[in-house]
Amino acid sequence: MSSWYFSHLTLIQGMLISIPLALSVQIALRSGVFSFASIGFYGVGAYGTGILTMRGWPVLPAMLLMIVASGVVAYLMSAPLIRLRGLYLGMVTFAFDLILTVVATNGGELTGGALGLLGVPLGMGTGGLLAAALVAIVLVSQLERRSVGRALVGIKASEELVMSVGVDLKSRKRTVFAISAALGALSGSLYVSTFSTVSPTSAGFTLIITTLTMAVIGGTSSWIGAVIGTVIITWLPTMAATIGEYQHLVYGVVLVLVVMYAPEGVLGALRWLWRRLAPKVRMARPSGGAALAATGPPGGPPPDRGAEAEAEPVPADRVKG
Amino acid sequence: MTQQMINGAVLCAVYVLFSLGLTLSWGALDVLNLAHGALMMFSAFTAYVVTQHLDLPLALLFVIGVGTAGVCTLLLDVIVFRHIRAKVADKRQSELLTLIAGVGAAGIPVTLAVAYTHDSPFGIGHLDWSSYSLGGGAQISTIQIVIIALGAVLCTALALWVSRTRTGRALRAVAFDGETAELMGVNTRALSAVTMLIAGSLAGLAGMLLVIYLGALTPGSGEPFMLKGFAIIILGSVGSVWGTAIGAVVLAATETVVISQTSGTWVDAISFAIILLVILLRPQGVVGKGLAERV
Repeated sequence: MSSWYFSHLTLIQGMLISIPLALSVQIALRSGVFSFASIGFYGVGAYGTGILTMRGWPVLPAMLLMIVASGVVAYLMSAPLIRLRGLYLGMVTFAFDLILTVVATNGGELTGGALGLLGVPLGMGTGGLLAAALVAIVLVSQLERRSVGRALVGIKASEELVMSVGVDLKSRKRTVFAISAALGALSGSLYVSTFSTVSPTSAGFTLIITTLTMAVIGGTSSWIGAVIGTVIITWLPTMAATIGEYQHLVYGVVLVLVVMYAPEGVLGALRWLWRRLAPKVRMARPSGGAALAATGPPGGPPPDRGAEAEAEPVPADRVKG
Repeated sequence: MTQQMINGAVLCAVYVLFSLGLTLSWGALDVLNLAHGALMMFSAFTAYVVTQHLDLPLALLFVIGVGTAGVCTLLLDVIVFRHIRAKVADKRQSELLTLIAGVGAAGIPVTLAVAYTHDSPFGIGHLDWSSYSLGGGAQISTIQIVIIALGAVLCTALALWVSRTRTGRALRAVAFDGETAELMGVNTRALSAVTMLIAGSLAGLAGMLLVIYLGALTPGSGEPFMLKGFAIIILGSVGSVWGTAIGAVVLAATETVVISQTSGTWVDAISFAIILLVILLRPQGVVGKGLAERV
């Protein structure tokens, strides 16, 4: 076990680092915010933490500063962006990611030019990464369960409906934008203080493909999907040794196929299976079935139920919160 | 000064050809094809691979390159985008899935090119063109004349097609309301196929002209072009042919001035600055109303 652990340490670390990033994309897509911005903030977090720690800052304060700064900057940025219709937001945030690679390449001594930062002080053990990933998961999963999260599902289903029941749509979307950016920055900071290097290409177009694949392949309807997707994409290359240099081609094909045939991802497939099996289970456990049919008390903690509760299409009245 | 204007005009013509394809599919079909830049690069890459094995005349290479980008875009629409449009009723959801599928599709040509060239620049030769002196030390080469002429002619042709012909009118009807257009007897499937074929071919043409003009492209060349395409479209309003032309003139002129005044490494940032400024100050576009609504 321990020899397996050490020979796969890089992959395990990579997986733990990717979880917040996959969550950052998932939380945006789940709320119907077509934003790729968190991948740009991954770059901001990586470069920011790297630059600060190379100038003698301890790791944790540097990370925290970058995460908070990213969140605040994203919140401010979101004011004009959030007015944009879907495709425009996608376009602008895509452009934002591409421009950051230009900035990083031209940053001179500060960013190390095209080579990037080398020899950033190491400051993250696997335990720290695990803790960070868990914090991200708890944050996002709690957000999904509270009224905020339900309103977000509603935003995706019908903006008009959500507004009609008195939810402040703009501020909710801006919050999502900020949280998504902070999660991206967290992931980037973890990366640079684990692998001690970052270059302009590490936050570029291929990262957009990889992260989208993680979030979409797992299923964007819940944080579980992002985690499943991260695990799959991390371990896929080791299982298929041949894909090596064609890794991103495989991701591209997988991404297209998933979008076409299983837009709900692995999570959707699991739920589909569960729906087929669920009636039997429900008969054996009638109270569980009743909880499914009932409308949860607005704002109150939902009854303890797993993925099966979400399998039902979200009823309009659950959106209130 | 004259030389700067010629360089700017060539740049502008390439931008026009590239952005027209992007704006056409977005304006008419609500498809923001994020693989557009990758396919532009792929046209030149395919021609490059062909030149490694065969000695073909330039005209035939153009047919191959332009055809590759056109057919790939058409296939992308027929196989993937149309499937999503048919399956997903909710418009926002289908736009989002189209966007994601475009990113995935872009990964395929880029990875192929990176693997084949080991991520290094590639060219297809044909670099010797006769130059004509314009006085004052300025020169213009045959290829520059060809690029400027193609940009102007095709842009005009496309504008006339959209505004004057029957199919162009059908296209505008589809952009305004696809369902109603279909009820009125417009064959939306055929129309979207033609539109995507034209859009892809324009990207291919831009790629071929660029690789000959610059001498080489890299597998990553498509990405900065997406940035430029966005800036041009957002300046000119989505779906507007003349708006795209004006946007391209503005971007090319600004970039030419910046390149001549500075070391030139920041030139890609101009596109982003334009995008931000337009979004902050005039989200409905500068030139006027295109085919789609933005906010």
